[in-house]
Formats: sequence, C-alpha cells, structure tokens
Amino acid sequence: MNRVFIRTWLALLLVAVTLQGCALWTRVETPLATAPDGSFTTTLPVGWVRAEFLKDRLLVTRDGPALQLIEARRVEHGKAFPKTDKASDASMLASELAERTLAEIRTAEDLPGLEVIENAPVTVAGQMGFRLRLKFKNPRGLTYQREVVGFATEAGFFAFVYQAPALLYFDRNRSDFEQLLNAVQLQQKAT
Amino acid sequence: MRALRISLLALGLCACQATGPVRPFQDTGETQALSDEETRLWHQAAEFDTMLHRSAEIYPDAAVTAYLQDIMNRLFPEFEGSIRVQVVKSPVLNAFALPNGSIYVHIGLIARMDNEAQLATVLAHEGAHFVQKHSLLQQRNLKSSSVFATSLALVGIPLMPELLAASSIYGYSRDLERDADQVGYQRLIAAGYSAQEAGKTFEHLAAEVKALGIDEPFFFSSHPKLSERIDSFRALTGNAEGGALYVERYLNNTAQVRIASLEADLSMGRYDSVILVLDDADIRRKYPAHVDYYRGEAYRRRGEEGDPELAIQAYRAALAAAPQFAASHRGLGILAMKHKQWDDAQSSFNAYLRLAPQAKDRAYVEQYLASIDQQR
Repeated sequence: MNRVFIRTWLALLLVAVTLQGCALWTRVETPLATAPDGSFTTTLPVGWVRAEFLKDRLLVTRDGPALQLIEARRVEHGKAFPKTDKASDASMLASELAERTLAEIRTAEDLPGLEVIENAPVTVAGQMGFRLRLKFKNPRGLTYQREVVGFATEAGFFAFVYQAPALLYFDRNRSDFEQLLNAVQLQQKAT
Repeated sequence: MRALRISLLALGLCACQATGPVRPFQDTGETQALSDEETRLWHQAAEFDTMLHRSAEIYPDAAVTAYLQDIMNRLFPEFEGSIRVQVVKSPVLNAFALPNGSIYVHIGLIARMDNEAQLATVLAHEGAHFVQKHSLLQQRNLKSSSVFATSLALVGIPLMPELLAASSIYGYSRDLERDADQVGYQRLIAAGYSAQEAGKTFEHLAAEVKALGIDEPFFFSSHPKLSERIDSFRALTGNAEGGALYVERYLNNTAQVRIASLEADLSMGRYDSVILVLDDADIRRKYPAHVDYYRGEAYRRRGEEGDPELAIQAYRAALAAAPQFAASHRGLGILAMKHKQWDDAQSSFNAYLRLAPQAKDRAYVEQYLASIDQQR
C-alpha cells in the first residue's frame, strides 16, 4: 500500500490523539527549520503543520498529507534504497541516483500507472542532483504527482519530496516546495 | 420446536444451494446462464477488471494482445468471446484467471518463453481454470476466514478477498491445479502444440525462480506446487512426440514485449533477472542486435565487484553489433567518468549526443561534459 496513504491514516489517528492535548503536530510559526539529525537547515511554509512524531525527517502539510505533503531528510548511504538492497555513495552521478531512486519507488511502493514526467539534473545547496516528477494513481483512481529531488554527499543521500493530487493541489503549493529547496543549507557534518 | 425445524430447513436449503454440483462450462452459450453464486463472483471480477484497466497497468499493445487471444481461441474455440486475454505491464513471472473469463498474463512471463507452445501451455492452464469453474469450487472449499483477509497488492490494487481466493496468484488447491494441468494439456494437444513443451515450460521457469531466489507471488505460488506441477506434466507427456513449437511466430510477435520486459526489469532494479536471461548467448540471439546494451545496463546499475568491467564488455558488444544504438555510448561514458577517464568519457558522451540529439537525458549528459571540462 502506498506509504503516503498509510501515513494519511496514521495522521488521522494522531489528529485524534492531538485533540487530547498531545503536540504531535505543531504549527510552523517561524520558517527556519533544522533537520532532526542536524545535517541541513531550510525554511518551512509558515502556517503549515509539522509532524513532530517523525524523528528521521521533516514532514509538513497544509491541508493533510493526502492533499499535499513536503518531506525532507538525509539517509545514510547504506540505508538509502532498502527495498532494492542498494546503497548510494558520494561519487554517484545524478542520473545514477535518479535510476536507483526510481527503482526503489517502483519496488517499494504500489503506484498504479506510474509514469515519469520529468527526469532532469538540478542543483540544490551547491550539489549536483536530480529532479524526478512522477505521476501515478491511488487505488481509487485519483491521479497524484510527486516530485523527488535528491543528491549525495559524503554525509549521505539527501531527498526532498513534494506530493499532491494532480488536479488543483499540485500546482497550488509547488512554489512552497521550491522555496524549501532554494533555502537548503548543508551543515558542517553533512559535507 | 417449530422455530428449530424452520432453522434446520433453512440451513439445509442454504447448504444445498452452496454445495450443488459444479459442472464445467461446455461452451460460450452456457456462460450466459449463471447461478446466483456465479453471478456474484462475475460481478466482483468485472469490478476488478475495471480497477485494473483504470490503474493503467495494462500493456497497451493491441498486436501482442491479439496474438495471445488468437492462441487462446485456438485452444478453446467454443469459448471464443468468453475468454478474454489481457497483458499486464509487470516483469514479474505471473498469469491469472478471473471467474468471468478475464485472463491476465504479465509481460515477464511472456518474455521468458522459448516458443509459442510454451506460451500456449500457460494459456491453456489458465483457460482451464475458467472452463472448469475452479473459482467457484475454490470459494466453496475454502474454510478459513483468514484466507479472505489476506490482501496481496497485485499491480497496486488491493484484491477483494473472494477474488484473491479465486486467483491463480494465491494458488488453487492441488486437486484443482492438477485438473487444470490435465484439461489444459488436452487442449494443448488438440490445438496441435508440442506435448513435450508443456513440461519444459515449468522446468524452464522453475530454473529461473531457483536461480534468482524469487519469493514473490508468481504463477506457481510455491515451490512444492511447482515441483508437483513438473512431475504432473512429466506423467502426462510420457514419451509423446510431435506437435508444433512455432518458434519464429512467437519471436516475431513478442519482440516488443521481450524488450519491454527487460526495460521493466531494469527500471525496477531487477538486474539479476536481466543478467540471468541475457548471459545466455543462445537467448541473446533471439533479441535485436543491440540487446547487449541491456546486459551492460544491468551490470552497470547492479554495480557489484567486477560488474563495471562486464558492463563495458557488453556495451562494446552492443556497439559492434549495432553502431547506431546511441545509448551504449552513454553507458560507456558514465563508467569512464566514474573512473575519471575524462577523454574516454567526453568521447562517449559526444558520440551519444551526436547519435541522439533529442535524447531525453541530454541535460544530464551536457552537465557531465561541463563537469569534465572543469576537471581538466
């Protein structure tokens, strides 16, 4: 089952718990944010909510993960592509990282009708990386788009994801994702 | 007491309705007169058909679909129109039949055959499941509710429990599989196909499953069932001789599918599958001249010790056989760049862009060429 949809149900459950006063989702009041492992900083869209219960990544949404989500994280090279049992490394070319990312997505997730709309180089935080734009359907036939931007340094594999329903939602908040990408700064331990 | 008698009567009537004899379909006409139980199964199957088509996982090649349908019509001529074959994009070795006569075959399974007789063996088996109403029998025989609770994500669509039970992916009982083997075998012989190929189909696929250590859901569901299927066919075929293979017809009609299956394997990181198939020179001869490119890609992407050298050999072999196939140059360029062989990398990338100026990944290659210039 698509991990996004699992996360959606998890989010709903946690919203219910939150109503009892637990701060599992917190509103983004100030834009500057640091990755949980301190490997990078960036800016998050003010007014969105951030999933505090996820300790290995930044994840924010405005209207709920099923309607849009932005995710940002660093993964150790050896754990970059667990389902295909592959690693990343700092010497990999951007197109190679894109190949492994696509293989991992195709293997790890059930995304009916998965189509690659764009696969192109991109520079983030001064690092040469890739940008993938994907289109797929959920089990009910709703079309989603997902953008995955990634690069590798000695510190690991950095991945940034934006996903939303293709109709109306994807274009509406894409600029928030671009702002996050433009603001990424690697910290000393990440270079 | 009166209430108890009514309850017992109702229970008896239900039992009779659920366990009445199941007679195989005799022809297409009989598929129009279904029991209530069968009608429910067919409705669920139709919903699955709709979901699968909506998922965009159907392989959009009318020619290969027509080719498979033509084989099925020769195997089950009296059911033409009732048994409908569709091709699924997945490279996984799989095929399954739905209660309503929809038969789905994965491109991975089609691509692994040696000839049309082997492909017909698979189709005959699946067609037999439909004609013999094995879905209905299986549903009646299943006792455990946990079976219905299991959900396999076939092509990303959660199957409804009843259809899951009816699907070949999950696997029918040994008796029903044996029945499908026997009925399918008779159909194979009646249609003029080689009897000996029936057993080879399963041995061929078993060897690949074993070599790759596959444990995903596939056509044969489990090794014990697979080995029993092989023994079953050996007993059926005995020393039978004769029958057609239609090797050329199979190769011609499945050329695109076999390439698509290689590409799908590569895109899913199934490099071992590609290497297993294409390391065999006899099999490579059945593919287009540039087929070594896919072997090169599999080795390059797998990236295990010794793989880069094997990839280079494969790309060079592809270029020797098909000098105009641009992507082989790109593969060589990537490997040269990773080894800091700047001149070779530049030469290969330039050759790639010269042959494929509209390449979708042109931006990557131009970035690599710019990077090479900076390195010098």
